[in-house]
Amino acid sequence: MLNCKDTSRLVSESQERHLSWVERIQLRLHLIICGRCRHFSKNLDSLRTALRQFNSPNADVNKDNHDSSH
Amino acid sequence: MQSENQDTVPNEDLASVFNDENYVKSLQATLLQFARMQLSDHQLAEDAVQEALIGAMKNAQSFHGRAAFKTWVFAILKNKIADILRKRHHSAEINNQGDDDSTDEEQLSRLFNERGHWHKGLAPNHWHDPEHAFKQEQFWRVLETCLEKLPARQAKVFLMRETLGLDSEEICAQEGLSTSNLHVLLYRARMRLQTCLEMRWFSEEDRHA
Repeated sequence: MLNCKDTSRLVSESQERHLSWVERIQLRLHLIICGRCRHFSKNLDSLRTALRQFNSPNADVNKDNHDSSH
Repeated sequence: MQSENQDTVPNEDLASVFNDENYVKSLQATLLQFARMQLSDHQLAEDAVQEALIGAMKNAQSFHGRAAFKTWVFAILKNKIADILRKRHHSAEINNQGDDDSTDEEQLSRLFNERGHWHKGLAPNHWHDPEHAFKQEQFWRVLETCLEKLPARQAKVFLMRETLGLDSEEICAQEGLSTSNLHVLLYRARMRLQTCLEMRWFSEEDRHA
């Protein structure tokens, strides 16, 4: 049985490669019983979408009011 | 959020943006300010900034927004600076960015208890209406901040993956990483970003609704 830490890693992996069928089943089983990991999985999907949209003019600021500090 | 200037031209070609002298000067100044804070040697800082800009230019056509491009240039610059500092000190990696493996591992491990379950207060929550967030300028500033907080190496490979759209093989080849190294870096970046966005945006949803 996967724990949340392993699951979080597997969720990230799933964004990189096809999971084996064993991994997929393990992941699915854990997500069924764990709401927190379900959130995590959804949130990573949102994160990926956000990055795509970040790379567009819509994510830019007006030149005048932006001064970033790092 | 519309302005009369060039920033919101759809499908802007970032490569042509370099013809805009004011833009380049302003970007260079910001980069230089950052580099000088990290490196005492002004010449070294200027060189690092030049190299970062030239390096970033290679992928300019993949960027369609200035915020994303700026984040990318900064990631390259941070890595250059980390390389310089590492050489200067000759020894083990400079740890101020948390790039050090054991520090990062440690920080992320704190999210989980001894049985590997999420710690109660630190577990991911439901993000209410991300699409609504994407329509708000302030959200993008928060995302930018979260990206800027990533350790240099994580930031660079994460952007290569999620913004340049390079696949694992290409990134590994360019960065001299094994696939498993890369996946670990991406995992850590995602964990940090998830936490950061949740803390700085989605957990304050009442404010932003």
